Amino acid sequence: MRTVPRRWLIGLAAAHLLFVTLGAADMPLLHVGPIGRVLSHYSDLSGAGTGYGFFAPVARDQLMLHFDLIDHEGRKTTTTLETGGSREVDLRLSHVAAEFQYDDSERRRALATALAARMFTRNPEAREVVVRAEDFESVSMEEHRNGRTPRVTPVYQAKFKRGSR
Amino acid sequence: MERSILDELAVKARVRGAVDAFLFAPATARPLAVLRIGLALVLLVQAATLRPEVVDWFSRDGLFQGIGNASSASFGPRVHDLLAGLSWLGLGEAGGIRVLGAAYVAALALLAVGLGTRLAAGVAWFLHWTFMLSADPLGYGVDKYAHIFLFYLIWVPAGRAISLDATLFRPASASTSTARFGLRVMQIHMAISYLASGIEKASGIDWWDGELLFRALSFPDCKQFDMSWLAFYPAISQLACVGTLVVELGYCVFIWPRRTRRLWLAAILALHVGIAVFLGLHFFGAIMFVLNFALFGVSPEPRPDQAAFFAGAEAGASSTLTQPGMRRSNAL
Repeated sequence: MRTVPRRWLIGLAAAHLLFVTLGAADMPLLHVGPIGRVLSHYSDLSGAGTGYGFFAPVARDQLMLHFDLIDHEGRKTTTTLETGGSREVDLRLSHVAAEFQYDDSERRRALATALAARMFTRNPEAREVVVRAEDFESVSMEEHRNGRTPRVTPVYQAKFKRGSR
Repeated sequence: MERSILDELAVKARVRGAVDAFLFAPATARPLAVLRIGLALVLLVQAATLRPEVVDWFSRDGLFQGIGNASSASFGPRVHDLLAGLSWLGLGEAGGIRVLGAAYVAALALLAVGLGTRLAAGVAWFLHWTFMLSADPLGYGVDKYAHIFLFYLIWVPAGRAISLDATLFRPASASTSTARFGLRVMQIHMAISYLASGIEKASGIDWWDGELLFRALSFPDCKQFDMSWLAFYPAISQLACVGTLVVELGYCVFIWPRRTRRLWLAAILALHVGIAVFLGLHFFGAIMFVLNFALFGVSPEPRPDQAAFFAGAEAGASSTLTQPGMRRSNAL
């Protein structure tokens, strides 16, 4: 088998780690011309373009999803996408709420429609589903000591009737 | 004058020798093997946990009604691209998704036992990437790290130790320069990721005064225990936050010297255990534990007795080199 000269290996690794550094610094290559696009694709496929800003620098609020289910007798129950089946599944499902942070009405509507359809399937007795995206705003330690509780602010709401889109 | 030139040349030669030893001194593939096995096992358990949801998350009539596929702008394969390629099998959408899931699990199992290691890593990486992109809104940090390190496993000689490949095909030497080089690239990547994470955290006041931990522990999707009592002991929260900053920012320096490595490794492992327990990020905690332990907690130095056992080589056939930098060659 042919050997690879060390200087080539060092060059390739240095280039790869440069992309890692650019990704970590949140500097996208996608818009840097055609070569930038190719390099961006490489960063995507290798994971070199990943950012690492978990819980940084601030994490004060979080979006949540709630579904109001209204049956034929007008009774209302509220549920969530999470089923309690496993922590990993529920954790991932809770991330869907973050999709409502983007101020794109068409996309929000399409997602709300898909989620309402999911709720109708899961709850055959439901006649109407209200999809509610809400912002959970946490409180500081001082606010908590002073008796304040987290605030919940509506971000998006849409009502669906069974059989409609 | 002549002496200073000679001194300069000697310094250059020493630096070159040190860099060469750091990157290429022959090493066993034990850390790479531990990473390979640990990562594959964590992903197998994760796949078992997510199995009941697979068809629902990726089918056109499922959770996102096809929106999940279109949500990510990034380049890469999607489940439905692969299903189109498998249409000649006549499996249908649900059957096709199950076949892709089974192929992913089979690739991870082969990766864990180290049979056809590079091919298994390639298939696992590609299918993991496909699933990750196809349900983009459901993803989080664990997927990113898995994607990065599955990619590395295609290129590094992770099958040279603790593997069926090593048992069946008996490599000529248990220690190679490529094992050291691959390990170094992954170690440097890890150090960059902690440095970037630490710098971003340190740029906000919430990590310095301890507010972030208190707030994060109250978030609906992270709340595992009632930690509201922390508000009455803010020093605990502040200590935990500043401690996290010190560990993450110091990682890129203190994980390298032998004197501080154990302390820093213990600190970072404790941090990830804490994240897993208190924020409920179990798989993220597990994967970060595996990566850190494999990359910095398992010695790559050749030890003839253990190298022979792990690599399936004859005792004494491995390199007698016990310290980096004792041998140098120009090609791998």
